[in-house]
Amino acid sequence: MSIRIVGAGAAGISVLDEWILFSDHPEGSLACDGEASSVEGSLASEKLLLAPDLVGGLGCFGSRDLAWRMVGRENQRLDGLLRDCAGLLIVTGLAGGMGATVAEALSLKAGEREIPTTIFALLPFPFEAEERREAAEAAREGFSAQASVFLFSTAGLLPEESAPGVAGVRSRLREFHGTIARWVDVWSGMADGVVLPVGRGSEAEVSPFAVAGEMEDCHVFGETGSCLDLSSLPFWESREFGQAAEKADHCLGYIEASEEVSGWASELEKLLQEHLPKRARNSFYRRKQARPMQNRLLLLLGRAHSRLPKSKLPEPVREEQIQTRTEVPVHSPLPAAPERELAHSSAESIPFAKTTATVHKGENLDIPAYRRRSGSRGERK
Amino acid sequence: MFGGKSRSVLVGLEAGTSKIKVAVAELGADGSLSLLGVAESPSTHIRKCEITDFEMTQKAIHQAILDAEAKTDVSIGEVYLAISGAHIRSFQSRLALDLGEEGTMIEEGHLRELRELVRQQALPPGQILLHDLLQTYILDDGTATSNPVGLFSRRLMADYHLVSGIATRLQTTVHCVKDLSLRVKGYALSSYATAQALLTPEQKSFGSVVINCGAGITDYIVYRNGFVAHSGTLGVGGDHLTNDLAVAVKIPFPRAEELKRTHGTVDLREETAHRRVSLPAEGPYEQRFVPMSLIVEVLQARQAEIFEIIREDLEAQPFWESFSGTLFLTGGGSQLDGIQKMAGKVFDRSVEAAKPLPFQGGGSGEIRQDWTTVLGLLRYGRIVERQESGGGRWDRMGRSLRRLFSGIRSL
Repeated sequence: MSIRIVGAGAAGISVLDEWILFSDHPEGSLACDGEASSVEGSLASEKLLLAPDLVGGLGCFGSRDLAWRMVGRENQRLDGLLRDCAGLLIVTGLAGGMGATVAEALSLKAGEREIPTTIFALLPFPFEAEERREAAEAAREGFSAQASVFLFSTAGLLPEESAPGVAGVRSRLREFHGTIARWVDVWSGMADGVVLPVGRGSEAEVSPFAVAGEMEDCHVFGETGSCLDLSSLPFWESREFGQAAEKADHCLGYIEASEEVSGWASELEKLLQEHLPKRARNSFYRRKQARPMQNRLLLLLGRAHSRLPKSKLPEPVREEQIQTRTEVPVHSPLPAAPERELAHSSAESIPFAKTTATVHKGENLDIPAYRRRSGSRGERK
Repeated sequence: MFGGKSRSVLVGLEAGTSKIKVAVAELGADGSLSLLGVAESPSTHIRKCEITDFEMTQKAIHQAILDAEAKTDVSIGEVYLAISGAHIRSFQSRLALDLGEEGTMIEEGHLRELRELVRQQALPPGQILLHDLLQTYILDDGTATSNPVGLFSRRLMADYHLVSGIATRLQTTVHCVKDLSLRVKGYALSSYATAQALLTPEQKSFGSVVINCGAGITDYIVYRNGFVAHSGTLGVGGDHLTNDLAVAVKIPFPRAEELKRTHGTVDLREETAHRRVSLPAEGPYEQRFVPMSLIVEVLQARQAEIFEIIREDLEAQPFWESFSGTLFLTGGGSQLDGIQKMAGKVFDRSVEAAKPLPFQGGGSGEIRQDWTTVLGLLRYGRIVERQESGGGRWDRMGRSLRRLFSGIRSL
């Protein structure tokens, strides 16, 4: 039995490559895409170019229909990837077609086989087209209900006030992929048993990557240095951290220190209490044996959003959470709609979107059959 | 109860994806069933036959019960409940009892022992046994019999068709009803209840497949030689057809439902192939014209897929190759134009629209296709009540029936 870390689509492969460059033990890596240049250029130990006979290695051009056809052709090979798999991590961008489709198909297949699955999904940039953001929403709905999904926000990644230029954008994007790669490393370390929760009661004993549901609005912060002074880390005072902290109700902290730093967990807890809302739950993890490198602190802030039906929610929404939600500014307030219209609009959503997907031989049957079968009709106006 | 009172009432309750249905019948002293009435209320918070909002579903059930009480002038206190959902699993099981080298005469006790053994079968964690349906007993020489009592053998085997489901999902459904101060007298797998409403003993014996095309799920059951040979549930139903149409035509779900109802077909005829259907302007929606070819293509793809998945499952069963019985289509989805023709092509067997067996009493004339499950519950309830009452001629006639329905137990 082994673990699998799949980089799906161009963004997923980029994160995977960052992790391979960073990790001292990059095993189980797989690059999977329809575009030959992404797959062939990857550092992953295994590579899967999807349906080259259909698209000639040119990818799916952002079309989910075409992506599903490609995935359908590779059904057996995708099944083979999960043979003897003890844990699966999929890293993907959600705005494109291929990565999201591969992630959806693999998560459903893994769900069928009861393989613990974690998905690190990168949301589209705020400036991307509405269709791509809608596609991302549809993709996240399609993930297996058993999977643990972390949705990484790209908001604030690029500064609004000044254009950083192409090289600057690339550099920031790589940096962003790099920070997510650090969390890939944490996941891999936990699967290998070298990263352990810091025992602070039952909360920290359950892996955050094993809890079914979504952690949305995830932001990552990190700091490295030969000597880490927790109280004066630069990101505490940054606007990005302030904005992320305001919305967060979960914080995962990871520390890797080359020498024993006693009391760091309690100090970090105290600092987080100062910076995060009271409702936030903190869990800390550390590496059993630090690698010969600088000390490292990583924080992942996010907000839990269960995809389970209402009746299965583990606990009722607390008062302070309700208050926080009402604080979110409403950009375009709508006049109250008559009851008939409200009922109508709620019925407009997919009637089984919130149920466990019906999966047959790895195919999500909740997706329109004509799309999966022909793949062409979806484009029709 | 049966035979004990001059008038007893049976109530069937089905909490379906599109509607909650309640059927009320009077069970006569002679065992006859008179349908008193059927009531229904829309269900908006059940998806794929599983409750997604407890309170709203309870309100809908309460409404249907009140309607049924008003229609039939009966105070409802207990119900038979239909159970379904994509979590339901069915499988075959063969058990054997060693009766010694010399052989021994088979007694009722041996049959009870086998039944106990089957109930102790290990199930996946969280699953609960819903039905253990006896198929046949087999003696050491391979002879199959429905009643081995009095015969000598060194070994007694029994084939069972077992049905299980996730306990928590079933508990939710049962609790939703019990919370309304209604007693759940018994429950039955939906497809099993449906078959009771449709099939005569001859049809069960000769071989029949009943496919119930519901809104949230499609379930099916196969009868052969008088017993249940196979059953299955697929979490895809009429809502999926509607949703496919909504996505393809880019219209809201309720409009797509209306379009499916009025113009939906899976049979593209020459005279309609080039027609366009007009969707009138309504509220914020502009007038639209939808080609019939698109409607047919979308619905055909989904319905054919549903049938093909069922066919694949049936083809995997050892009896299917020699199965020459009839397929019966029922449920709201079976009203789709051209569906019988399509089923005939996919399954390569004769297909008929199911006709519910007649009831006595005033309510019989109103029987609709989508009521078959709730009506079947009444017939199921009648058998259970007879089994409980015992005695008389039914004690003699119903021995095999009692075994067949012995899997009933409370959650």
